[in-house]
Amino acid sequence: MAEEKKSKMSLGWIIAIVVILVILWGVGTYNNLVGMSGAIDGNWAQVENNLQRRYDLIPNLVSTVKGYAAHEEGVYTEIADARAKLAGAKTVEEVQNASNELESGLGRLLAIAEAYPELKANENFMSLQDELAGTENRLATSRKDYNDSVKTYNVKIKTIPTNFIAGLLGMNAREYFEINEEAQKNVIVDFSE
Amino acid sequence: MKRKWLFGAIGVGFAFAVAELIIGGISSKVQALEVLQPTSEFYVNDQADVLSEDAEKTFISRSKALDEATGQQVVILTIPTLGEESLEEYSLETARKWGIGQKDKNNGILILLVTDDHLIRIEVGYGVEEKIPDGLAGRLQRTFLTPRLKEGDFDGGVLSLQTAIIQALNDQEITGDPDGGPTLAELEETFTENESEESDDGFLTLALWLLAFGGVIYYSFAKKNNFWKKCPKCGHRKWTVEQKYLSEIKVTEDTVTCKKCGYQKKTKTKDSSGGGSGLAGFLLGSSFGSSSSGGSGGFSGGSSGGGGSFGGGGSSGRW
Repeated sequence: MAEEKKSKMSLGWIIAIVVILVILWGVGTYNNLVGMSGAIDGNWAQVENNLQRRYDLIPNLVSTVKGYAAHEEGVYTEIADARAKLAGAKTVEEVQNASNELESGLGRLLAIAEAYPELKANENFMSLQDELAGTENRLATSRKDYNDSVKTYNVKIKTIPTNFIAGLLGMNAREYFEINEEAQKNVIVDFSE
Repeated sequence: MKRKWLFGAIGVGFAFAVAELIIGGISSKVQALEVLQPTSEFYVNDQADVLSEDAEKTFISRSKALDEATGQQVVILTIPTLGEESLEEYSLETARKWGIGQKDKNNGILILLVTDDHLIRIEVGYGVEEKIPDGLAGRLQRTFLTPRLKEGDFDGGVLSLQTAIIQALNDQEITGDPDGGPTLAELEETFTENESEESDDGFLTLALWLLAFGGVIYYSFAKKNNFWKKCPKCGHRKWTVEQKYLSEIKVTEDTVTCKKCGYQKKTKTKDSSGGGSGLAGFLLGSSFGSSSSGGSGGFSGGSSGGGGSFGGGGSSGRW
């Protein structure tokens, strides 16, 4: 390594170097935040994937149940409405609300299915239940991953000294994806065979 | 020579960045049930002690063969009870922490048996969800595992399920025969390796920083020794440098000699504490610090074991 023996450094040089260091730190921090933001987007994409999966699963599930319990009209309408809402949802909040409604509807549907033993024994229905349970689990997982990454990010942009960069460059806190805990419980089916 | 500044400055720079990391905080979730460490055999973790030694040995050898041939990992964990913990959450956390499966392929499977609670879960990795979708996972459970568990045949149930899973993963006919499945040779034959390219951004960043750092040092060294100044005699720009340290008077004498014409110039400098290298040290330290905090910020929900990742696919059941 070279030996540096500068006998004297002018004040100008010192200021310049300090400024450069601050800029470098700023750039590093910004890039870090961008990376975190990207992770959040990635996790949200996964949440949407799973919502789509559930969305696609439902018609099949509904028609299977209808095959055995045609007269339970209320719940089918509820589900169809929630599904339509979800298709039109744009913001995180809209998606949240629509998805919660859908979950309530599904919970009711499965509760109804409990009363029909032939339905419960139907192989197709059992597979669909597996798929639905799996999808709900995936949704819970991706929601957790999303919220975890949002939390890391939100905390980071509020701590000193990172908050200077974040404020300066317009990086704001991201929303969490909340769910209705009760509705969620209904849908993750407890198997009692 | 005094190196205090250099080391001190590296330390300060690093401490600065690390302090930032600590202030950022590490949130740890208080878990009702702690995720265990895998056993030395990895594939079999019979905490509830329901499998016989022979069954364990068979399971291990099959999983090992599978791993060698295809990189897929099938692991079993048995525990007595979950307590307050959720089956799915515990299973996912374990699978992720243990890094079951390969990192780039996410081809891991965890079988979780909770013996006192009579719960089963098959956790399927991201990469093999196509081979074993949730419906199939449930069916495999119900066909090969559950009936045997109801009879108390843990060995048979587990080995049968393992065979079925291996067969499903490798597009074979699913027989779930507890006494055997595809052989190592068969697996190697049907399995085709897909090379995946890994791009490592962290390394690139580090290399760039080192390059910049090296550049800074070279530049200041060169400038100091008039590397690019013209030789007054012949106009050439190449020099050789010779340094002599005269300890009696604490002075360094530098002799620069023009490569072309031999013109020499001597300079004497007093020993100073190297402020320039101090700043370079700060730069180095803080860049190391911020690249490490950048790295850990990117991990959310990934597996800390560096292995395969899981997205919550699979199926649960009870017997």
